[in-house]
Amino acid sequence: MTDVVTGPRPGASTDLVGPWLRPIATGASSAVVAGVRELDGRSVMWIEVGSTRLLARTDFDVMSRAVADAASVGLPIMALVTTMAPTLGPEPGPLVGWGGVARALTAASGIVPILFLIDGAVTTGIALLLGLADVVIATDHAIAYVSAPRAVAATSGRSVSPVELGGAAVHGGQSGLASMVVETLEDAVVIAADLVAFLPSNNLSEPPRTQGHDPVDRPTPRLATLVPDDDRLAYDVRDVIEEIVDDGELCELRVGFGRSIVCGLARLDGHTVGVVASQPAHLAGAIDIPSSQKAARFVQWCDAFGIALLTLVDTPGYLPGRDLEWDGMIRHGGQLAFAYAAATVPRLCVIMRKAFGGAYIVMDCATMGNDVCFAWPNSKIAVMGASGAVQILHQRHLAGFSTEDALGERQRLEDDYAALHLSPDDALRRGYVDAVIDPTQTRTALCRALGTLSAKRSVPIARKHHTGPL
Amino acid sequence: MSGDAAEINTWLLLASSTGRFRPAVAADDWVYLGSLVGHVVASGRESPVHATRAGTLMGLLADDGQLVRDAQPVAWLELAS
Repeated sequence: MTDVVTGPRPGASTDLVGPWLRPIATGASSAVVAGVRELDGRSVMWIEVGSTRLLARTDFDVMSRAVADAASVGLPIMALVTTMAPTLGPEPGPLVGWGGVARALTAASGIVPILFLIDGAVTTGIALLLGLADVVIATDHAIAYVSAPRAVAATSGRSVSPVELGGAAVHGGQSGLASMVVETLEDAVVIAADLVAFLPSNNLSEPPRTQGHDPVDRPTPRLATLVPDDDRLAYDVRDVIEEIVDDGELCELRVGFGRSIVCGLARLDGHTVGVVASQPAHLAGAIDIPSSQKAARFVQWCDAFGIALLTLVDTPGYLPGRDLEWDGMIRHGGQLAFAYAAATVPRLCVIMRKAFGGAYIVMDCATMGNDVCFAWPNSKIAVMGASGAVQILHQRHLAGFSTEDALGERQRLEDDYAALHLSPDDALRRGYVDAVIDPTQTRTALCRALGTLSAKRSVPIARKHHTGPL
Repeated sequence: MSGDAAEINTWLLLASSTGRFRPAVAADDWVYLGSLVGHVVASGRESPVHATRAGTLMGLLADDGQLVRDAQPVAWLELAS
């Protein structure tokens, strides 16, 4: 390591959280500064990128070295970017420089957590580095795109502003790039520190366990009424999560993207858990492409860092749609199935209400490999709901009735189907559910189950890497 | 704020509204500025999509009947030199 800096560069935001501990790397340029820094008691590799000038090759070399050092010593990477764009000129050095950073980030992926905090413009192909990060926290001032507005205009005549093309609102919703959107850089650093507190420093360490004051046997009485019995009625699953986890605290990621599934970090009995929950408040909890992508990435990330998974299921199935199929529902749906099936961390599943069809399977069902599966007494685990099943199974039978009589007959058949199939009892008998629990005992049951699984280990068969659906 | 350098002799034709796209041209057709490329149909109303540059229509980016959003690319041209 050469050209060691002796402290933060002037104007750097080093007074936000804590002092520098051991600066590691920098180059001749001052556009990038990197070093180990303490953030709320945790050491992280802190990389600051930002200046009024564009980045040179040496800047990218500094970033690459810092990323490689972080992976080597097992420290989370926290890159704070105010502006990031390469110098474009006859020399290819700056342009190819970020390729080295991409390579270093890829090598560090899954070894240490990678967080990017964006508070300005990240433009050109270098913006793809953000796509390699585990978590991107964008401020309201963040802008990121590969091709500029003028390039959009030059190929379509469409006038679009930088904010419209790649502002924080775009990346917090439509694109799904930003895991979180906050107002200021200070907020971003605080949120990042909160997030790191859930995470191990690297894949060989255990996630930190807190000594909480929330009793593991705390009843959860609100769960008896939060979820309506009528499965056509919506509710916000965040309320359910908050009732279950320690101190009601959920650190949700990608709130505005793939909204029919909620993903976030929380704790159970002090253990970090990654929560994946159907969200009936959006599209009735039906899985679509964005929600599938979001959940798949989150499950894979949790698994990489030894974070147990808690899956809360209330989904009517996959969202139907021709364009959805054309856009690759199978390809992207496969990502979620792959991520769960490959995960070796402790996996807890609670079927709260509906668990229908293929969506039930990919939401960590027993055959996908969950370790413990609880169901609430009113849950419905089936290929489909009563209405759809009767339509398919008894279509000819119903055709023999007059319109008026068919309504009554249809209702009778639906009631019979519901009584026979739409309960957890059959799944319990077949071993797809381990226990039917009272909703008010959900937290207790989950904490106990997680305790018994905390020593879970797996030894995968060696291979170069999987060929899963990226 | 600059973006990636892109020198593409390509022009995208965009949907004029949200609805089902109905193409009126086929690949390899030559289109003039203002040529009718297709329609976007919504609630029984047709909104024409006209070529905003002249060139060879290299391909459709939306299939016949596909739901498109306003300003979604529906075809691409290789521009006349």
